[in-house]
Amino acid sequence: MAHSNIVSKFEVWKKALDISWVDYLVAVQKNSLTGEWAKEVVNYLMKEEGTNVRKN
Amino acid sequence: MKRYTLIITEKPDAANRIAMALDNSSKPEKIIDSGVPYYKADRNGEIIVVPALGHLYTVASKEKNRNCPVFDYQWVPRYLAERNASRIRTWLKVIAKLAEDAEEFVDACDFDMEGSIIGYSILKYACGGKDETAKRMKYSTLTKEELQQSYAHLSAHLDFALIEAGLTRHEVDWLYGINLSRALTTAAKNVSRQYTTLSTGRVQGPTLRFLELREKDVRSFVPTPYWTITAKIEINGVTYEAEYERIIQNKNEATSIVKECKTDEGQIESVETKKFEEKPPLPFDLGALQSEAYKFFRYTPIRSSNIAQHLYLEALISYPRTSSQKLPAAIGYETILRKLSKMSIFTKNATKLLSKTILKPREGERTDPAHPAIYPTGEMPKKISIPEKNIFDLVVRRFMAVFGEPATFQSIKISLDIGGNRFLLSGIRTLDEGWLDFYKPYITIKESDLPPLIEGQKILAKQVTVRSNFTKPPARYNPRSLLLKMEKEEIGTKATRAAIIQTLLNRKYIQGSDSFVVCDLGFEVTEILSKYCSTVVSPELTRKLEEAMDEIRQGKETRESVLLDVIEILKPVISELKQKESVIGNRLNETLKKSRLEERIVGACPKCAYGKLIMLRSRKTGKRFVGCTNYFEQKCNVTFPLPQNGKIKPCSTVCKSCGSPMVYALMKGKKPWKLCLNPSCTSKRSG
Repeated sequence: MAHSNIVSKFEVWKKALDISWVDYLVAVQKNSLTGEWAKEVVNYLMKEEGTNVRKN
Repeated sequence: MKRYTLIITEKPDAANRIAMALDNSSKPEKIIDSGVPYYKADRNGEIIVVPALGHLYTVASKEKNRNCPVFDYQWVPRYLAERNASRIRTWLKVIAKLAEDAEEFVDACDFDMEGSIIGYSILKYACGGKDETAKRMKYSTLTKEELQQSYAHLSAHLDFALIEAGLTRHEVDWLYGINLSRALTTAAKNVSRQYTTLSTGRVQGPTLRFLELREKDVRSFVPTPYWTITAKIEINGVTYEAEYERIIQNKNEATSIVKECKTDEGQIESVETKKFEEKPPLPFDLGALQSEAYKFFRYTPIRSSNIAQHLYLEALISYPRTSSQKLPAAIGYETILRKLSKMSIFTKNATKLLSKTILKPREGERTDPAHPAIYPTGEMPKKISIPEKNIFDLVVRRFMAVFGEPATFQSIKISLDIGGNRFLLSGIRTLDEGWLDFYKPYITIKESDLPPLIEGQKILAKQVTVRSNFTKPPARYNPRSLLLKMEKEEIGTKATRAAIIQTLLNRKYIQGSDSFVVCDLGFEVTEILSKYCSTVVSPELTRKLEEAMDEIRQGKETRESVLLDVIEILKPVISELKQKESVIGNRLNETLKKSRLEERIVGACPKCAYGKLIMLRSRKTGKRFVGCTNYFEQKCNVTFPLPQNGKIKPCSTVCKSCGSPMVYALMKGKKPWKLCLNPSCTSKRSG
């Protein structure tokens, strides 16, 4: 549920701020209104993004 | 031996009131036999009024073991089924002794489902089958006049349809509760060898599910951005704030609108005024009273219910456990208002209502077969506590408000043009306060009047600003909203809903007082139930059973058929739970272990910063103390002493003087003691 929320809300953020996926994750992680499970998923996704960047 | 009429009441306070009202000289003789009080009154013959202590009988298994499933049950005295109920044995002995010499029996317990079962079971089991000949005394208030009237017009027999419905409810709830709770408890115990009561039930299960779904929404919430634009405008020297006509979901669009509004001048496009009415509120049923009491005083539903019950026993308000929104004329509107007008705080409003040519309350759709909506009796309160005073005041003001005229308002909606963009400004003006005047201070009128304006009028646009916002997560349930949700979903009854919420708190499935947070144990229990027995905890089934019980009350359904259906529903469910016992047990046990561990954590370690301080017991001395979790890895050796008596509970705050964690020491009969763990904290130095 948290993961699907994160994925679906990215479209809204992209339309609103023309933001990249990584910047979106950072913004959601910093936001105090983000739920704790959503934050946990964001942290995991950010780590994954970091690994991908290092791999590339 | 002189024969008498034996009246049975639900509680000792009610027995006292009834005896006082019925005795010719209002001075009944109080007798105490083995600690059980009863009253001897004289009214064209001798009357004995003996109270119960709520339910004296309960449903229990016929077998002594704790096997599951269990479908054989019987009604037994509570002392045979519950611990700490030995007082009931003496109570029943006294009632049985009094019944021996009685020639007539009257059930004067509260006239609702629970009251009817209390009276019926005593008459049937303790009085030797007198349920068939006993008469019924029905009343909604404990005022002298109503009690005398009620005694003069006794119903010829008990309300057996209501009793059947009530017995079915108890039996159905018992079958659900005992079987599902035993299945969960046994599963956890067989894995851990430690006993922890895990309960669920017909209403508890769906209620926990509502909480769980909301909790998941909150914890998985991802906010999204949006922007609002506000224009500060000046009209006749006064500044107002107009809002852009819609919210904007794109930052660039918001910025460009603000740029377009860089002008000093605006113009009024249209002025729209509308007159509207707000009807008086509906009379209080228990749910509405609990909801308002939480809103204004933050009293939990169970607390409000207990306070209202006490006010009823003091004859200050009518019977509170009602679902009625009706106030029949028979309660005597004028008499009540006349009595209220003698209390200085209500004089003005009561007199104002008495001057009306017709007194007609606003009523709702909901009815209750036994009682009207809650209303004050008009009796003057003598010694009542502040919370009782608050609830009494709320009930009186609500009662007066329902007789008020509708309040009338004028809304003003102004559309403005600033730089080609539309802004809206709205105001509201009270034309006639109507009922609002009677319900103060429980209603606040938000006036935002605007000056007279005309279309085409120029205005000064002083400043246009954009504000960035984020959507908010849904609110967690609080005692009020959860009660409303249960009412809306038609699960539980007005008398049981508050107690169900309390059980969820007691079982540690949820925590919090103003906002309920679901704990890990709550998640685990509801997930197990949803996975292995989703039908039994669905609100739909609960609602269907409520309907079936209503039909029993109307004589359209039988107790036997409903109970057989329930057993057929439960059989496969229990079998499934038993088959999966070890999986369920392991899941529950893991969560229980985690919960028990969390209960022992008192805060972060002030020395190593990443360890947690946990309550431990020394193997050598047996004494308890607080130590850092990193001690076991030999990384931190912080320890703090703890008081050795009473219960210790972690406290969410840290010491203001030294920053160390704090705990509560709870000792029987004493106020909780909040103490800093650090023995050398400056706050502990005397002088």
